[in-house]
Amino acid sequence: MSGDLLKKLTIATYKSPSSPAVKQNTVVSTTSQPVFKAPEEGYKEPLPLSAANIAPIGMIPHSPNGYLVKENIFQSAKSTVKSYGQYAGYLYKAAIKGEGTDYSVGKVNDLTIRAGSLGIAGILAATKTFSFARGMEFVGLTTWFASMMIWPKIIGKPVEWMYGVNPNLKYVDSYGRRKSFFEDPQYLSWDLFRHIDKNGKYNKNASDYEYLNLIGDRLGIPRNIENRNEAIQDKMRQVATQTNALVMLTAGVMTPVISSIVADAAQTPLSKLIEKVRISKQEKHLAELESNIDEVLKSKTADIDEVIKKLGIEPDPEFTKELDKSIKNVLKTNEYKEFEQLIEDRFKDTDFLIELKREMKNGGILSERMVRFDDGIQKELVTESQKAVAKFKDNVIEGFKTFDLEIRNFCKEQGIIIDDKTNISDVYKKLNAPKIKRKIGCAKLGRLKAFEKYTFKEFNELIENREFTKLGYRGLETFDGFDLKNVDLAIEAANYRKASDGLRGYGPEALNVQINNKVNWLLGERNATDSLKEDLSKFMLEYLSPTIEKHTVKRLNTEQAERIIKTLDLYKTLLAKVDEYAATTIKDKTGAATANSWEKIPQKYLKLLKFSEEELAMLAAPDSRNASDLLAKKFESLIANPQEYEKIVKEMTKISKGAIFKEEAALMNIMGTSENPGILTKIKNLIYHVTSNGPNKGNLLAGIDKHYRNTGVKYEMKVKNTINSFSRPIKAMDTFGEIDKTVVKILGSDVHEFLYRIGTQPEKLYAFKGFTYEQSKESLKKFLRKLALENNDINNWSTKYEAAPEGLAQGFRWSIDMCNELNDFLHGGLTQRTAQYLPKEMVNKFDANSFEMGVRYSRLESVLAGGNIGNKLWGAVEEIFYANIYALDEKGKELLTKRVEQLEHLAESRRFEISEEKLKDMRKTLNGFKGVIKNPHKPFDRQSAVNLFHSREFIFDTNNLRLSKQAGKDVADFFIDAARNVRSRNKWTKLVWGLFGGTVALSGLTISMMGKKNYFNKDIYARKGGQNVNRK
Amino acid sequence: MDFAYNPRGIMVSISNIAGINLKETASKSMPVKSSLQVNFGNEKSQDKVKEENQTDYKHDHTIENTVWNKFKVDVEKTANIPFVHFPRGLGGAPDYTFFEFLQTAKFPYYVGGPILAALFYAGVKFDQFQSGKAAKNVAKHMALGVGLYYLGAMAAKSIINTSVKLTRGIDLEQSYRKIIPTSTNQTGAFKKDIEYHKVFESVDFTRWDLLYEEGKNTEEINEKYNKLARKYGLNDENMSDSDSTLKPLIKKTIVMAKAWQYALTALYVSLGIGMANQKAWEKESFFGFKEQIKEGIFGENLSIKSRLKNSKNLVMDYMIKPFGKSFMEFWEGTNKLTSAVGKSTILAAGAATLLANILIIAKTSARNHQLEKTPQAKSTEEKKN
Repeated sequence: MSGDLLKKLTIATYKSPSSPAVKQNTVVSTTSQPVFKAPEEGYKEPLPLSAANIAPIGMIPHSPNGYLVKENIFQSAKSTVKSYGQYAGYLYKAAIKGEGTDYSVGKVNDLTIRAGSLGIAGILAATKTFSFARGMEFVGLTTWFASMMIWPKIIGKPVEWMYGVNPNLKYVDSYGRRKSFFEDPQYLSWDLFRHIDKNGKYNKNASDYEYLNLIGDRLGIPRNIENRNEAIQDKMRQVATQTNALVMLTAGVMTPVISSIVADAAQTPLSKLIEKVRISKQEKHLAELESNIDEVLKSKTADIDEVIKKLGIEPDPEFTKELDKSIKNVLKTNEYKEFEQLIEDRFKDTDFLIELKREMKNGGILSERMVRFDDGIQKELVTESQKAVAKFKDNVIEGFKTFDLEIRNFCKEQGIIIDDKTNISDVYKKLNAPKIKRKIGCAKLGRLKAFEKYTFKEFNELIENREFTKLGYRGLETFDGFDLKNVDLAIEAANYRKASDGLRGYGPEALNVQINNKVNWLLGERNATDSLKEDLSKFMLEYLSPTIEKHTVKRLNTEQAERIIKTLDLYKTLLAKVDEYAATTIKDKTGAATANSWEKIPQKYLKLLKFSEEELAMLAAPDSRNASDLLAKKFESLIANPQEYEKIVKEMTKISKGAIFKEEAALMNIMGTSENPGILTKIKNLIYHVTSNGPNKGNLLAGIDKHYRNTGVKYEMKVKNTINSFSRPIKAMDTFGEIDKTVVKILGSDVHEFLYRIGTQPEKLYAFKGFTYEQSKESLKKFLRKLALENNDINNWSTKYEAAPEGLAQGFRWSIDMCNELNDFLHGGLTQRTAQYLPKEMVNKFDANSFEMGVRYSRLESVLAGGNIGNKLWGAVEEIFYANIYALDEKGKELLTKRVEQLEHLAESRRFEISEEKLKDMRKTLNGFKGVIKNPHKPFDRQSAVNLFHSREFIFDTNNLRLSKQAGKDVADFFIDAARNVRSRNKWTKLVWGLFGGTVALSGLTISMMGKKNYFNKDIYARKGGQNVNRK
Repeated sequence: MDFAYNPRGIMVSISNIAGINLKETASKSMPVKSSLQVNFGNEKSQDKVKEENQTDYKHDHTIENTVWNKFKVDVEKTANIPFVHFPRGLGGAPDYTFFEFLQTAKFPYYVGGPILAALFYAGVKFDQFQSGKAAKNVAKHMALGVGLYYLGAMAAKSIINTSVKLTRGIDLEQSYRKIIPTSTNQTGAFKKDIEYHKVFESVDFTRWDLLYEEGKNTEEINEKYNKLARKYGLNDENMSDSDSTLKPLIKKTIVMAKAWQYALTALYVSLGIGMANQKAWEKESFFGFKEQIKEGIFGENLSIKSRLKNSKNLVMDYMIKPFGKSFMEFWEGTNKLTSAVGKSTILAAGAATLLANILIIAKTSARNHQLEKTPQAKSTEEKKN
């Protein structure tokens, strides 16, 4: 034990914050000269420490002024934060100056771990698109560190309560360094417990180890033993070591577990708060933008720079710089490629890139490629053409030399001897032998035959002397390329005109044609062969191509280009602002309002239906077949209990209303109506305004309009998807109440009626032929239940009514009447049973959307036109507008009016796809026709009406992306997924709390066994007087 | 004073508490080899050791720095955490050391991260909605982040170790085997008589003694120090006292190296996490990964050559390439903010690495210090003059 003390240069003692340092117990240690000699045998208690028996020779002792730290949690946090400043100083000294101790370097480690973690959280936060996720990164980090710090304290408290030992005890040493008391069990500063009274406070009048003895009592150390202080200290050390080991064993599990629990609890309130803050912030931004746009439109300025300035938009400096750099009147090959690339990159993810390119081209802003014409190019062409011919000639000679060598080598291989006098004809004959011929190939042999009148020597001389004519290249000898006159003529023939700016002319292709012609003509004059003409002109064009390319440019109308690019760039910037708003509201993005709704609402619906644990398991099972049966049962029991039904319908409506309204409000803010335009409409109007006032607009306006409409459709689809998904469970419950009625309606109320109908409506009830009434009823019921719960999404469109009801052989695909009856059942409005509990506006909303989806199944064309025309309104509209109103009774008129209303709804639902004018026309036409139904004498242009509705927007085939995106979720899938989420969440909760509970239990058990006699600690005590006693 | 309470049953002396194993501080009984203890190539054969044990005390000694030895030490150290240190700690062994405390502190460090990633993954919902998919990706990124976190920490450490070793000849990873003559380890299940420490792990208590060689004169005794002196840029004239000249410089090296290792770790782990969070690691990039393993490596009717080739491709396509790609993605970013964050993290890590090396080399060079010359050196100098 004495070694502990001697290890320290100074002995620290408890110092009360208010009391001065205790100076009496000074000690000096040295490792080279032991103060105490190790005893020969046995153990001797160390002598009391005092200046008297440890004489510092030649050294002045330090004043010990260490003390035990007593702080509450807040003071402790404050000290921790403060100490990081100190650690930064350690880092500076260690990293830059190379000064430090084990302690300070250790603290540098602590500091960098914290800094690294902050860095990690920062990086993760920066890479998240949304502030919720960003916020969660920091929440995660905070909870992580908090749990890391808290867990040892949580473990420490019961230990302190049970044994009086605080394992997290801290002390400050004589150098002012803050340390954990029990961190290093071999070096413990027990002297700090001197004069600590029974209240744990420094009191110089208290007996030496009063507090320690008190702890000893708590620890159950017998009082009447020899050397009790040391026995207590060792027991305290045992408890502290055990606690530290327990903390280390459990911290790896508890830190993430506590962190997850806390972060999870923080998630819901945080997400609500962040959603609110983000939306209101975005709305504020949009409102500012909107008022700026209004101002610009009022001022009627169309100057793009001024508009940008007035809107307070900061153009992207990088792009502006690049644009300034690349906009020039004349763009060389590389330059125009770069310019085009710049535009491509900037607008690649927009709907208007194609239109922009088209406008650049058709509007004459960026010209086609043209050869820039000046004297320079003429001279270059002359020089280069001569080089080309010289090169061509060299190639020819080289070719012959290679050929000669090849023949000689081949002959050598075949054992044919060639010398100067050898006639080529002799060699030719030998090589022409069938076996050899095959090896050398006809082409080479043919070429050799052309020289059969020469010997090899003569042939070589022809090559050496470059006698092209004799070598078969007639005309090449005298042709050395173009002169200036030739080039001029070619240029003239290509219709190029010299102009002062040197830019008049056509693309390089025209010049190529003339160069080709010129070569042919000049060689023609020299009686050259066609193959030479062809080869040389091709070679010439290739050779001259870099020169021509060098002089090829595009002209750019810089002013116009800048204007339209800036305009579209502004459009892009403004759209990004709208997109930011959409990303907080209706876009499928984590943290958006819609995402939050989707996160919660299905689970809320599920909770309302009060499924038991077993039922949830069944719903969430991988095999979802039982899910719809379960839902059917649930819905049927609800129908039978009107009070419960009312409660649930009202609750569901209330829950969905909030989410739907949020999305509708966002859509309204973005798109608005014609009377009250939204931000996107205003942006479109602004860009229209700026563009319309310029000379180039046609293509651009089309592009802008296209983008506007696409965006409108996109967001509207999303909102309708939400409405359909959240309203469908309510509609399904309502439909369940109608099943019995519908069965009777279709099959009749009894067997007689059923048989009668089978006879009179063979086509409609074909599927039931041969089955009993009861069988048919049961089967149809099941079929209707399934219809209401399953196959409502886009995946089942084409087979919706095709599947055969259970027990029957086929479905109802061919029965138009049956299909429409089923469609009315599924997509008709809410019945009074349900509608009475909903606000009127919600009923209208649900009904309208349900109907729109129903159009896909309704086969309008079949009912009215009686033919199978396809999923279009073609035929249907003829039937509507050409209906013989005079012949219709009131019921018929009612049906016709309903059809007209359906058309009206469809037209309105396509408001972003149909042009404004056309939509107006449609409204007018339909209103007019309603009048005709009431008064058939009214004049009405029927054919024009038909033509108007023969619109591509009214094609409802399976490729209709629009309907597929807004179809919403299937009822069964909706509840299955919700159940799976709940189950997965429960599983997670069980896992996390299980880990938590398990670890806490393990820790509790370990704590209860701390300080006990064990394998390592034998607890043998000597009673004062010499007799050993075992601790009880 | 009579013997009263001595649970250890051995003599306690100053020197063994101070961690210095002098001959006279040896314990009464010789330490017994632990069940997990390993043999090292450079050690004398077991018989010889036994022989020596009978005549001489067992000393602390350094372990030859081979990859195999390092691996064995690491394995033993790791295995000792659950099998020796935790049982001893939980039992509250009286001779439990700070070293053991630090060893157990590694456990939460290695367990915490993976558990957090696993808990996050367990919480991912089955929703078809985008957030479900996103969350799955987040969990994957998180698991990957844990991996790259450790990789970054390792990289930071080894960069400094390598440069210090190359420039100053100091191997910060040089392990030594410390003999622990304590009481409770002598018998029973949790005996512990060896600790593996690093020669340069402590600034205050650097094991200078382990660097001395056996020999007759200073030249021979100081052989290792002489070698180091040259690395530190000391001229030959000072060699007679190279150890005392070098010790402050080595201390400085240790301090700087450690501080920079910690600082670089912060930057490298941030870099690792940044890279782990890139698209290069997402499912789309890992299309066919499982199939490759199933069909390409463990599939039927495949030659060993093609299995090896497929494994190589797998490592290339799913580890090295995404690693490189993720680095580039982190550099480029997806918007201005991420681009700035990525670039600044990468540049900061690069600049700090460079600065660390420059500073360590410059500040620890003997040429940049005024050294007090020994009288012997002076006389040599005089002779020269």
